[in-house]
This record gives sequence, structure tokens and C-alpha cells, in this order.
Amino acid sequence: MRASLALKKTLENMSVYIMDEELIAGNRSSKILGVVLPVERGDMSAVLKHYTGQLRRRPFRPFVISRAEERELRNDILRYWEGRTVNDGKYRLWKEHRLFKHAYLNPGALLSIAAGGTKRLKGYTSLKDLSLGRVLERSNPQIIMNILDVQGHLVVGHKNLINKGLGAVKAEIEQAIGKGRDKAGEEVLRAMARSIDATITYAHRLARHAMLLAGKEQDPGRKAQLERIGANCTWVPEHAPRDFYEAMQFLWLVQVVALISYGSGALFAIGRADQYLYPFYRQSIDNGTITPDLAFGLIQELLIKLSYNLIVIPSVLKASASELGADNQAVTVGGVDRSGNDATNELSSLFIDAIAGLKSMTNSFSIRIHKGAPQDFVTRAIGVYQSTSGPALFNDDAIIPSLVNDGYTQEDARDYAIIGCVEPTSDGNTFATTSGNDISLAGVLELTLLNGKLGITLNRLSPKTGPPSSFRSFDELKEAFRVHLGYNIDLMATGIDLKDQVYGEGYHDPFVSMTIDGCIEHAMDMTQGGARYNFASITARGFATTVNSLAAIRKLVFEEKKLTMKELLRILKRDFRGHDELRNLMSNKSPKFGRDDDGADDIAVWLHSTFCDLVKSHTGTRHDTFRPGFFSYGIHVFDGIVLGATPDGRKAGEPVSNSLSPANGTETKGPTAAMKSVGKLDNLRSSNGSSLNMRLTPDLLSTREGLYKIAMLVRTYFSLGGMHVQFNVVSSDTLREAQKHPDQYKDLIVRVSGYTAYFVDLGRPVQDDIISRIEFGSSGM
Amino acid sequence: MRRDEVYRTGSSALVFDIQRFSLHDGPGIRTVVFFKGCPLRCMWCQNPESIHPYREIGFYETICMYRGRCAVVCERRAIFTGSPGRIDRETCNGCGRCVEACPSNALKSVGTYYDEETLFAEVLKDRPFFESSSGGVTFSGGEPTLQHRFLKGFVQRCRSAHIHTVMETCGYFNFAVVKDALSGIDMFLYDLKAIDAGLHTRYTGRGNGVIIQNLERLRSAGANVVIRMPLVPGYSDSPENINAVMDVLNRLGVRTIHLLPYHPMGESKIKPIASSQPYLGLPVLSESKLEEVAATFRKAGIDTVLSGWM
Ligand code: SF4
Ligand code: SF4
Repeated sequence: MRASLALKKTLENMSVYIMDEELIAGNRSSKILGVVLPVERGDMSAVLKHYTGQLRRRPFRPFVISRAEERELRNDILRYWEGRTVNDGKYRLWKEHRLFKHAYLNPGALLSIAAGGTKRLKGYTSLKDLSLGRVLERSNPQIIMNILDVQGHLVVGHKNLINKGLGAVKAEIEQAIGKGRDKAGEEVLRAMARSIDATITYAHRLARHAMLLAGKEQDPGRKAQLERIGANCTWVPEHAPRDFYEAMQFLWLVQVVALISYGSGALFAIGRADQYLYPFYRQSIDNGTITPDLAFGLIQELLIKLSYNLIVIPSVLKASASELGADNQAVTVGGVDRSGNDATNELSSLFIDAIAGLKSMTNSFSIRIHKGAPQDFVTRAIGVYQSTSGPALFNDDAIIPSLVNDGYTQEDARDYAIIGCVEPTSDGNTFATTSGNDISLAGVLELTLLNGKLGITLNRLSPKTGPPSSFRSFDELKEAFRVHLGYNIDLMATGIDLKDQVYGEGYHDPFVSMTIDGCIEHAMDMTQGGARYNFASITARGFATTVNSLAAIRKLVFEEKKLTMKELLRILKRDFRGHDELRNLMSNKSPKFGRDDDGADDIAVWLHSTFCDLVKSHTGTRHDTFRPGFFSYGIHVFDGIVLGATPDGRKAGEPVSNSLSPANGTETKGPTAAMKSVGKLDNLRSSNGSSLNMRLTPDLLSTREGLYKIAMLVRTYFSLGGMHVQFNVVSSDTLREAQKHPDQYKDLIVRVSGYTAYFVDLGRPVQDDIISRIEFGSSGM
Repeated sequence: MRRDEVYRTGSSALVFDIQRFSLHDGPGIRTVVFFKGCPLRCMWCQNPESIHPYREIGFYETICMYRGRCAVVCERRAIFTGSPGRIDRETCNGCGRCVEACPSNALKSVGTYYDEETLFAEVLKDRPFFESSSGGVTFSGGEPTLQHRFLKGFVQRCRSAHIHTVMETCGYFNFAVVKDALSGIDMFLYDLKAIDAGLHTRYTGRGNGVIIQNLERLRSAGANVVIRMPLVPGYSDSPENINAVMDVLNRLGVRTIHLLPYHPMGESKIKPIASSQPYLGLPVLSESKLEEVAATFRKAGIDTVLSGWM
């Protein structure tokens, strides 16, 4: 109830504006790039406290925040919420349940790590800035995991609303209230109704503002546009849209209010836009009410608006130069329809063309591909990489069965959309909290090798499994690893559950709940389990680093006996100092994941299924099973800082591998081999999403033939069971990095007019020639 | 001349590289098997490690740690940790022990023996990619026909597994001797470098009579032959040579040529194997020159393909 009143107050009072040239109105804060600060959650309060003041002054990408605003943030807002945030509630419950032990950090190790961390992130942020202790304890218990305060991560039910209008939804809610609910349920429903009223009021305020501007406008063209905006906002979202233009305005207003109601870090996806918007598009184009040009312009404007959504993330977690990450509002296009037939349409293609036309988008744009997808459509999707690294490709034929395994009906599974970066759920009926809860597999390995401790802790965080030097076989090591993994996943599941309870008890979002199928019927907020489908999630990172480390131990310690476990541990502790030779053996003469080599891939299969089994064995507070996933959003760099050296030859301080991708510099057998390796995993089981990121040199995209071949590469990978692939197109910057750090790019292959070579093996002048070819888009590259 | 035993027996192939996901050497996604050993000595060769018909050891000085693991295991005492090139090429017999022992991969085997079974398993790895993209395997080199005894069985094996085969050849072979190995090949990529016999000898060490004859023989046997011409600045790109190539094409009734513009990518490969290949210091073939040559061919009614199957 408090939430709906607060939303009402915000929507009635926040300043509204319409920018020049805007055709779709609605702003989420009084600044264009403004962030709705999620103070009530609390995870970022520590960061904000540190940063207010610094944000404005720092030379690098300064934040615009006025002194008065800064004072308000620091003195009033943050102070009010102190002790009352989700973070506080969660932490209180964790303590009550004596869930996590306090990690006593080893001062020596910490210092050197902090130094390494500072060096690595020079110019951005040092660990000191983060009041490390507090952040670690409250968001990174056990150090090797994070349970962030955020839930979010869902597909807003645009598809449920857009054919009805909010007025009709309100009538449904009122009918539901009439059905004699218990007090709590009735309150939930009333809050939903109130949030709808507030939204309509907000739309009408925008409409009045547009009319006011129209009155003052000199230019007749713009005047007409403003009047149209005014008319649109008077009609939608209260009523169902009557044409494509109104539908786009409807979609954006509902999305904006959802964001305002939730605050940043929501990761609210908009679902299968090309599907639910298509009837409006078809009708408007056919009867000539809007031109294809206008439709295209509206789509581009929507995509730009979606990409302006930002999030405050401490840079140490993100490893990027920015505290602002993208609060992804994923758009999904393509795929099959609810009965399994190809659903790609003209609008799917328009969305793809629109994203191709917008360079450097922070958006996540998801393209679904299935066995029967038209070749043209797949080639068009690949063609986007000519201009941006943005889009990600998803495999219907793997994801749909994996969702059916999760308990979805066949039809709902086919109707999936992507959340955040790679997480699939059915569109508009699911509360799946797909991210924010991650565990470091490399961290679990360190716990295993140090018998329950980490190099940077003085005390034990995980049970005793015996000193590894006592392990007589590789299987014993694997078993110990499984024990630590299981123990930490148990802890995590309970920790997440307690966080989710805090949400269910007091941090509702009636507006978003109302959009999701099931919440009205059950008279429950989404945080209480009102949605038709509910899941929780645990995601793993550092997969390849861990596989490679285990493979190196098996080969060097147990098979070839080149060194003993004791020696291995000593060397790792010294971060290989004085043992370059052994380090080289580990990095060069041991099997690696991603080379289609069973010497590593069988361990990968084991690790993947072990993790999935352990995660799936848990049930959460909304009677929801936990879904396992494998992806990382820059957070694998954090691991790099806190973890010591690993037996794959990785030095302390270096990032661990991301997602399911091969570790840096190890993909020497090319993309087909990496895809075969990933294809060996039982991919259907990691239904929370798993991702494979690959490099592509631009030459491969410069011709039709090249696009076709990449398209077939992807289709074959999908036929092998891969769920997702995203390509990063190699830029001249990448190559310059490779010149500086050849070690990390040992596997970078370049091609010039039919000649192929490892980039780092080439002489400097030839390297420079290739760089300039990429820069100038020469035809040979 | 020194030559590895396998050339005679055909029991194994000597291969210096296998490249998966190759997109330029024939249609679709392909795996290229680079056979070691070549009868020509093109001055501009981009694969100097392909030339000798025996295993060599590549030494990459910049990543060497100078601890001498290699010298300890070398039974022929061919390694001198002090010397800049490390290996006495005369004494080394290519046994490969030093490569095994080197922890840094500063020593690499240039040339690996594959028996039919192992090589076929390697080729099969990307079969799903071949099938979807109408790709397959490409035999390249070096000159693959030098290992015709091995290839004879191998090509048949690919055929019966319905794997599309391409062979890249310089055309310098004894047709009667190797024809069994060629009979199952789906497509040939046939290089024409220079037409004037004297020039050809100067550039490659051998005359071109047999090369042009073999081209005719292959075509009259009904083989699918794609003709390619490497354009090396100052060598093969002269107007006279272009015209001469055009004459040959016209005489044979060939309507398409693939042009391969030179890029000095192979020069970095010379030093590690102490190859006698000269450093030419040639520039990249310029875009405008490429266009000019292409235009000449087109004017004569011959289609040009500039980047292979890409
Ligand atoms: S074993 Fe390798 S690293 Fe050591 S001296 Fe020989 S070449 Fe150099
Ligand atoms: S290949 Fe054998 S003979 Fe040659 S240097 Fe290495 S160990 Fe010595």
C-alpha cells in the first residue's frame, strides 16, 4: 500500500517534459540520463554515500548532480532509509539465522589484493572507496558469492495490457475485490488499482503539457506532432491503442511507470515486442494511418529510450570504467509462436534494421532463432554485427524444451522472452528473479584446495574436506569440490530465500504485479508469489577457469605426476613467483575447455551437471524451484581481484573466465571447436540461461557469402544444443590491446584476403597494417 | 634429398597444420589440412614451413625461458641453449622430444604425423558444420600430391563418408603417378603464377610446362577446376603476365579467375625454422592495383573473384 501511495505522489508531482523532436512522451526522472535511485533497497546506499561528492567532482564521466540535490540525497533520503532497506532486513535475517560466518580477512593478503585491485582499476575506483567490509558482508557473503538486494529481472506484462487498456484492467481488479478476499489480498488489489489511477493521471499530465507546448509552437509541423502526442496520451494507456503509434506510446508509458515504481536495477524486459505490436502495425500500415517511415522512426525512438536506462554499479564489480551500467530492458524478436510455427514478421525485421542503425547501444537486443527460421531472417540478424556488437542470438530448440522441464506448458514455453542479458522466461506470466545471485566456481575451487578457507581469509568458511595432499585420486578431489559447492549453494539458497521473504513482506510493487498474469487472480503481489510461474536462480561464473584448473591438476598431479599436490599449493600461494616453468606447463601443456578436447570437456560436462543438480535441488519461498545458469556481467573481474592464482596458470588479480566462454587466450582451435565443447554440455538443464561470447573479425561480415557462413555457423551450433551466442566484432582497439598484452590474445586469428595467421605471431608492421585495414574498413579485412 | 619415410610408404601423412573454420579455401565452412613438402620454391612463399618434406622444429625466441629443458632431452645433442637459433638443423632429426619437454611452447613441431584413422577423426570433428554450410575438407600445402600414396585412401574415405573434398595444388606433379589420388576430388584450386617459362623458373625454381599440361589433363578428365592467380607486386602482376594468363584461359575456354592479392603475412614464419627463404620486404598489393588487374580480366570477358568464397 505504501508503495502505491508513493507512486501516486511521484507521478502526480514529478516534473514532466517533452524534448524537441520526441514523438513518444514520458520521462522517468527530471533528467534525461537520470537514474531512479533504488534507495529503499539499500544495496547501493553504501556506494552512494561514498560517491555523492565524488560523483560530481571526478574528472572521468562526472555525474551531474547539484549541490542541493546532493545534500538532499545524503542528509534526508539516505538517512531516512538507513536501517529500513531490503539490505538491512535481509542482513538482519541472515544474522538471526546465523547463516554466514563473518569472514576475517587476512590483512597481508588483503593489502596486496587491494594494491593489485587498485592497479588493475587505476583511474577508476579503488577497493577502499567501497568500504569493502560492509559491501562484502552484506552483498558478498562467503566472499565467493553475491546475493545482491535486487529482485526485478522480469518481463513486464505489456502483452497482457496492450489489448485491454489500463481502464479495463482496473475493472477486472475491482471485480476481483468484490469476490470477498481476505484483508491482505484486498489490500494488494486496491494498491494495484491505485497504481493504475496514478498512471492515468500521469499520462493526462503529459497530454496537457503537450497541448501547452503545441499552443506555443511556431513550426506548424512540430505543432501537429505535439497535438498528436497530446491526443495519444489522453487516450492511452487508459484505453487500448487504436493504431501503431498509440501502441508505442502505450508501451513506453507502462514501461516508464514500471521503472519509476521500481527504481533502477530493475532489469525490466519488454518481452516479444514484434509479436504483441504486430497487429497494430499491420492494421496501421494496411489502412494507411501511418507510414512505414514513421513506424521505423518510432521503433528507433523506443530503442533509444530503452537504452538510456542506467544503473549505479560500483566499478569494482563491473570492471568497466563506469559506475553506470545499463539497466537492460531487453527486447526480444523472432522465434516461434505459441503453436510452434515461425513467428517472424515484418516488424521483427524492422526492429533488427532499427538496432543496426543505432550504433553503440547499451541495450540488450535478443533475436530468437529456430530450426525453421527463414534463412533471410538469420542472415539479417548476423548482418547487425556489421555495425554493432549488440544483439544476442538465442536457440528456440534448446530453450523451449528447457523451459518445459521447468514446468512451463508447451505453449507458454514457446512464448518466451529474454531478460537482462540471456535469461529466458515466458512472456508476461513469470516472476523468476533471474539474476543477482551468483557464485564463483573458481572460488569454490580455492575453498577446496585450501580445505575450506580462502587465501584472503584467516578463518574457515566452508567445511573441512581434508588437506588436498591427502587425496589419492582425482575423484577424491572432485568429491571434495562437490562438497564445497553443495555447502555454499545450500547457504546461498537460504540466503536468497530470506531476502525474498523480506520483499514479500514489505517491498511490493503493485503496478508491475498488476501487469503479470496470475497476480490479480491470486490477489497477491508478485513478490509474494502471485505470478502464474515463479522461480529463483543461482548463476555460476568462472566456468572455464575452473574446468581448466581441474584438468591441469588431473594431468600434471595425478596422471603425469610432474608435481605433487603439496608443491602445487605452494606455487599457487606464491602466485607462481620463481616457478614460471611450472606455470607454463599449466597454461600451455594442459587441456583447455573450448578446444573440442575431451581431456577438458569431460570435466566440463561433470561440472556443469553437478552445479545444475545442486541448484535444482532447492525450492524457494514462493514454492519456486531454483534455476541454474552460467553467465557473468563483468562480475567475474571481481573474482580476479579476491581470488589467488589458479592451477590453469592464471595469476592472482587476473579475471576469471566469463560465462561459458573459453578462458582468455585459450580458444586456439577456433569457433567451431569452442561450440563443439559447449555443445557437449547438457545445456537443457541450465534453464536460467547460459552464454557463449565469441570474437569475430570484421572481414567475415563484409560479404554476403561471409554472412551466410556465420549464419550457418550459428545454426549448426544451435543444432548441437547451444542456447546462446553473442559475437564481439574485433575492433582496432582490440588489436592494439593484443599488441600490448599478447598473452591474453594468443588465440586471436586474423585473416587478410585468404591468408590466416595468429595476430600475436605477426611482425609489428604487418600488425599495424591489419589495424589500419580494420580502421578504414578496407575490403580485404 | 632428405625426405621422410612416410612419403614412400603412405602409411601416415606429414601435416604442418590443421585449420578448422576456414572460410576462404572452397565453399562453406571447411577444415584445411596443410600437407608438408613442396616441389616449388616460390620466392614469395607465405608458408615457408610448408616446404621441406620432413619434420622441422620451430623456435620462438621471445617466449623461451633459457632453462635448457630441451637440450637435456635431445639425444642427438642438436640444441645449444646459447645459440640464437637454438637448433643445429643439420643434426636435428625432428624426433620432437624437445617440443614435448619445453614448458613454454617456445619450441613447436612443424609437421605432425597422422595415420589415416587419426586424421579422419580430426576431419570428422566439424562434420556438422560442413553439412549445414555445404563445406568440407580442403587438402592444401605445401603440395598435397607429394603425399599421394596417403591421399589415395584418404580421399576415398572422405568420399564414402560424403565429405566434400577440395585440393589446392601448384600443378607440379606426375599425372600418371598421382591420378588415383586425384580421382575422388570434388574441386581443384589450381594456381597459375607465371606463364613465361623463364620467369616461372626464376620465381619458383621449376618450369611450368608440366603445370599447364596437367591443367589441361585435369580439365579433359572432367574435373572441376578453379583457377587462381597470386598477385605478387613486382613479380606476377606485370601486364605481360596478366595478358599471358588471359591467353591461356581463353585457349582453355575458362571464364573465371580467382585473384589472390599478396600480403606479407608469412614473413614472420621464416625465422623460427631458420628457413632459407629470402625476406622480400614486399608491400601489400594495393587495392587500386587489384582493381586494375580485375578490370583487365573483365574487359576480356573473364569474371574475377577477389576473395575466394567470402
Ligand atoms: S625448453 Fe623451451 S623454454 Fe626451455 S630453453 Fe628450451 S626452448 Fe627455451
Ligand atoms: S627434434 Fe629431436 S633431434 Fe631435433 S632438436 Fe629436438 S630433440 Fe633434438
